[in-house]
Order: sequence, then C-alpha cells, then structure tokens
Amino acid sequence: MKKENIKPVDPGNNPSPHYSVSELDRKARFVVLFLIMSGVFWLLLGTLLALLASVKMHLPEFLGNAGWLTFGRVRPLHLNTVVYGWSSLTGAGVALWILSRLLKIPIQLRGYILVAGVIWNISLFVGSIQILAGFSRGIEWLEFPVSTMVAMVLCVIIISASVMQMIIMRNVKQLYVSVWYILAAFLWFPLLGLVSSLPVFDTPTVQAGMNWWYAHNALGLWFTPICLAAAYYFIPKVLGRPIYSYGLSLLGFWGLALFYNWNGFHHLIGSPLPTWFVTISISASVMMVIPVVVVAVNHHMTVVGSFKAVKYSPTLRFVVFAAMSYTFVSLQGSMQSLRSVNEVIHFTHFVAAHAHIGMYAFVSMMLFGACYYIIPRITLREWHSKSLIKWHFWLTAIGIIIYVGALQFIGLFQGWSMNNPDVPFTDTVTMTIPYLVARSASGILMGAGHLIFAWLLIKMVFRTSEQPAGAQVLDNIRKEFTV
Amino acid sequence: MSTGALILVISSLLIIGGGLALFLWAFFNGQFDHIQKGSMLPFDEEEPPGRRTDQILREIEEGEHQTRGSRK
Amino acid sequence: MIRLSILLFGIIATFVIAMFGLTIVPKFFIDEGVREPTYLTSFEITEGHRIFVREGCIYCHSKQVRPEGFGADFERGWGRASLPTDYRNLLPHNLGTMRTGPDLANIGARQPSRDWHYLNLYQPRAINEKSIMPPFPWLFEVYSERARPGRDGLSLPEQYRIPGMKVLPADEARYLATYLISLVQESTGTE
Repeated sequence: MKKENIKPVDPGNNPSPHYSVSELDRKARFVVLFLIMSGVFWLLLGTLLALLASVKMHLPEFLGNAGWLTFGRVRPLHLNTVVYGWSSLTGAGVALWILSRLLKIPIQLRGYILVAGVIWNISLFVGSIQILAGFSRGIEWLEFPVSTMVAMVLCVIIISASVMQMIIMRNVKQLYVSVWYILAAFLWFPLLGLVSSLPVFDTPTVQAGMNWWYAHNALGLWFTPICLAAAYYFIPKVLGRPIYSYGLSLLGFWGLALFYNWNGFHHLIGSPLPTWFVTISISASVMMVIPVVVVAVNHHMTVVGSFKAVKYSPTLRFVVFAAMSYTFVSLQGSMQSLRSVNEVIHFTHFVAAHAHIGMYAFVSMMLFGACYYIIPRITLREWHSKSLIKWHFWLTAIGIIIYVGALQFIGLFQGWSMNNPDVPFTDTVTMTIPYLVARSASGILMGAGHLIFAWLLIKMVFRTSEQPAGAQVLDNIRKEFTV
Repeated sequence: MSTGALILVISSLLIIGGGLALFLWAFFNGQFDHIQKGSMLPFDEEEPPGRRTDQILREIEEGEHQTRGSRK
Repeated sequence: MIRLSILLFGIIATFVIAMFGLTIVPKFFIDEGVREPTYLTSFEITEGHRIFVREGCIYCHSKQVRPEGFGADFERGWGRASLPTDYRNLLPHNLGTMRTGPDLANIGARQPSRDWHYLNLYQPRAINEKSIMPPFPWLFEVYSERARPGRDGLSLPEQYRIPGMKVLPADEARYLATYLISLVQESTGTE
C-alpha cells in the first residue's frame, strides 16, 4: 500500500503505530467480507426454509410426503440457520470492523479468523443436514447436535481471542461503549454455548430451565450487545453528532448485564418449575425497562430532528428502524413476562411474532444497516443501484410489519379463545389460518428484499471489470458520501 | 418455599450491596467527572464530528440542488 | 488497565451469578425428587420419545399442563398441572412453548386408542378435516390388499384410501403411538 497512508510515528508520548482509516479498512477487507458474505448465504437459505415452514402451516399437505422436509424439521432449521448462520456470522464481521475502527488497530489474527469462519460454515452445513436427517438435539435454539455446537463455539472463541488482542494492543486510550458491548458479547456467547453443551442438565425440568436461560441469553447477550454496539457507532457516525448522553449509555450497559442474564425463565410461566424461580425472571424482565428506556432515550434523542439525514442514508434508515424496534420489542417483552399477560399470549403466535421483532426487525435490520456502511468502505466501491437499496428497505420493513401485525393481532384472540373452555380447540386453529397466509405473503416480501440485498452485494464484490480502487479513489468516494 | 425466599432475599441483598459499593467506588474515584467526553470517541481528525456521512440517497431524492448543510 | 479489568470482572460476574441462579440452583431443588422413582420406561416408549423429538412435534404441541386457575387447561380436560416427575426423565425435555395443536402432556388419558393415533399420524385430516397437522406417511408401510393376511389396514375415509392397497403402521409408528398413549398424568408415571 502507498506510504502516505501511514502517518509518521509520533516520537513523543505515543510510540504505537498510527493507522489511517483507509489502512484499517484495507486490512479488514477480506475477513469482514468473508464473514458478511457467508452470513448472507445463510440468510437466503434460512429465508427459503422460513417460507417452506410458513406455507406448511396453512397447506399441511404441501411436500407432505418428504420426511426430511416436514414442518418439525424445517422450522428448527430455519431458526438455526438464521441465528447461527446469518446473524452470528454477519454480526461477528460487523463487530470486528467496528472494533478495528474504534481501537485504531487492524483486525488481529486475520488468518485464524478465516480458518474459524470456514470451519464455522462447515459445521453449519453438517448441523443442517443432521437436523433434516432427524438428528436434532430437540431443544429449542439448540437443535444442532452438541458436536456441531461445540465446533461453532470454538470458532467464536478464536474470534474472541482476536477481540481481546485488539483491545489489549489498541492505539486509543479510552474504550467507547460499543467496545464494551462487543467485548461482553464475545465473552458471553462462548460461555453460553459451552455451558449449554455440558451434560449436567440431565433431568427434563432442569433442562427446560437451561434451555430458556440459553435461548433468551443468546438474543440478549450475543445479538443485542453486537447490535447495540452498531447503533452506538453508526448513529453518531452518520449524523456527525455525538451520542446524546454518554453517561446514560454506560448505565444502559450495566443494566443490560445485570438484568438480561436473569430473564430466561419467563418462558416457563405456568410450567412445573418452582414458582419462585419464575418470579425471579419476571422481576428481572420488568427491570429490563431501565436499560431499554435508557438506550431508547439515548438513540432517539441523538436522531431526533435529523429526519432528512435518516432518509438520505441507507445505513441510518435501517439502523433507526432497528433501534425503534429494539425499544418496542423490549418493552413488549417486559409486559409479556407479567403473569396476567402471559396467561393469554403464551403458547400462541403472538410470541412467534415477538421473537421476529427481536431477531428480524431489530437484529437483522441493524445488520443490514451496518453492511450498507461497511461494505463500500472496505471494497472501495459504490452500491450498484440506489433505488434497489430503497426497495430492500421498504420490502423488508413492510414485510416485517405485516408479519408482526397479523400474528400479534390473531395471537391475542387465539390466546383468549384458548383460555375460554367453551371454544372448541379446533376453532383456535382455524381462526388463525387467514393470518398464517398473510405471514407467508409477508415472508415473500422479506425474501424479495433479501434477494435484492444479495444481488447488490454480489454486484459489488464480484464486479470483475473494476479492480478495487486505490487510496485516491477512496478519498473521492468518501467526499461523495459526506455532506 | 421458605428456603427459596431466604435464598432470594440474601442473594438480592448481596447483589444490591455489591452494586452500590462498586458505584460509590467509581463515583468517588472520579470516574464520572468528564463522562460526556467518551461520546466523542467515534470521531477523529480524519472523520471529525459535524460532518454527515453516508448520504448517498440524496441526489435522487432532491431534484434542485441543496446547499444547506444543516450542521450541528 | 484497571478499568479494563473491572469491565471484564463485571461482564463475567453478572453472567456467572445468573448462570448459577438459573441453571445450577434449580438442579438442587428438582433433581433429587425426580431421580428417585424408577420409571420402568420400556424400549417402545424410549424409541417413541426419540421419534417424537425427531419429527419436531414439540414445535406445535406443548407438553405442560398449566395449573388450575391459570389459563383453561384444566377446564379443557387436560388434567392436573404437570409435575417435574411426569416426564420419566426422558431427554431432551419436551415442555414446548407453542400450542398450534393441543397440549399432549395427558394425551394418553384422552386418546387411549392405538388406531386413533395411527390414523391421526398417517392422515390427521381423516380425523379432523380442519386440522393443519402435517401427515407422517413415512412411519407407515403400504402393502397390497392380499399381503399380510390377518392384518387390517388403517380404516381411512374414502378420499385417503389407495385403491388395492392397505396401510399398516411400521415399527416407528407403533413406538410413537405407544409413547403417546403412555403420556398419562393421572398415574405416578410408572406403567
């Protein structure tokens, strides 16, 4: 690379090398692209599985003779591919890039991360075939057999080692709150994965407890911190305006660490688990209101009044949509954990829709937004089509709104009818069918959005006619991007 | 039930006490003195605050040219 | 560096405390009472449980009855509230979180007939035409009418019959039906 990118070493107080932004991005290019691209592959596969499962809900005979495509195998595989494939791989790529920028150090152990990424993808393939072939572990969110899970966790540990090394060798003094979140995520997830794979949870009720401790924390301690880190980075970065209150962001971090850990058992209200255990989780879920409101105030107060900037920036469109969804889904979650509400909505489609606000409207939209910021900077190319970006945004946003609106509306009625013994059970099924059809339609919208995103990405990365631009082109691009 | 309640009370007292102790330590140690300074960490001399980035959907949105930077 | 260590300590401590609280402590309260009884679980039931897990039944059928007064589980005739001892220590746990179909914790008491289960597994719409349960034909074998004399095929409604053929449950269907019929919460869990 050209010499002028590396600024002269400060001879005085700061003996560490000083990396320019373009230098950092150039070194991040291959690793981050690899993680994001493989994530998008799993997104497409996961979307296909989702559509299949959704259609099977209202057309039960559709592909009904194929044992390996039965609903009970396709649905868990959909969850596992989008969770451990799309969200985890892409999330790891986004987190590494943000860290590299914030710590002013290139991504460390890049070769090892690539090897880990390849092994991760292989384990996902193996695990997917295992689930379709009927070797699922049978625990929600943990359907991959233990061997596959451990292989994936070891890959995350390699990335965690890189994260730790970047933090120790950093070229800045203070750690921004995004770094806190990412560091926490990369410590929490390996611990979660390993503990959940231990063979000590060997009676059913205890295993159910472990199950929901794990499943809720996989969202709360792995995806949420990465995505909040992205929001704390991209909102100020795109707006050119610092976050509203840094003190609040730290309060939000510790609130999340303290309370989210304890939330899992609110999935087990009414189950044979001792009531007082469940009560701990209910109170912790209500306490989650504190970090959520803190984060909400912080994000929305930073964005407020900059509507035009949100409109013009593909990144901020997705990020602000995701941040709003986070506030909504978390407050809704606190409410759902109350016994009186849970009595109605537990065991209904309401909860499935709630999970999709979390994993899709929050996590996936945040990752889309992050990709729109990161990829032009590491490939030094512009997005192929601006109108396609808009199409991607509106298809996915409208898709998830239809999904959530339809299923949460009917989920309430499903719950009320289920709790009314005069309504025959079959009626609680038939009443949902038009809304299940609406879900399939919304899935087609979201799937179309994903195809557009994948197309844009492929056009950008595999445009063989143009070689990656040099540093001077980068400056031009950056001027275009800035106002 | 009573064992459960006892465990709950003791552990919650421990957690609250520990949290309070840590907070007081941090407060009197001066950790919160210049707290807002941290919000400037995403910016540096190459990408300074006050400049918007990633406004690529701008030109097709606005037909006439617009020079208002609306900087803050 | 001291700040980083405090950060690391906080991250690990908050996690580990909750991990103990939600995964290890329940073990002390539940495991002992569950381990003690001998369930005398037969091979058929264990295999049936495995097939139940393999086909992902749990994504539509919960297996936990809520206590009387919380929801209408009792009023629907699904029996008393489930206890940790009701699960025969069969792993993975099958508590479930969804009731697209009815709860199965007490299905053996409601539907003790093997033929009902065979029919429902082979073609759920043969029993309830509004059902959206997927069919599981791969648990069954289709023979010519003349084969296996003495064994009657499933008594399917006209539109689901295959002319000149009869449908017999394969081993897997028999295991699964045995398992489903064994799900009775009134008993202590031994058969």
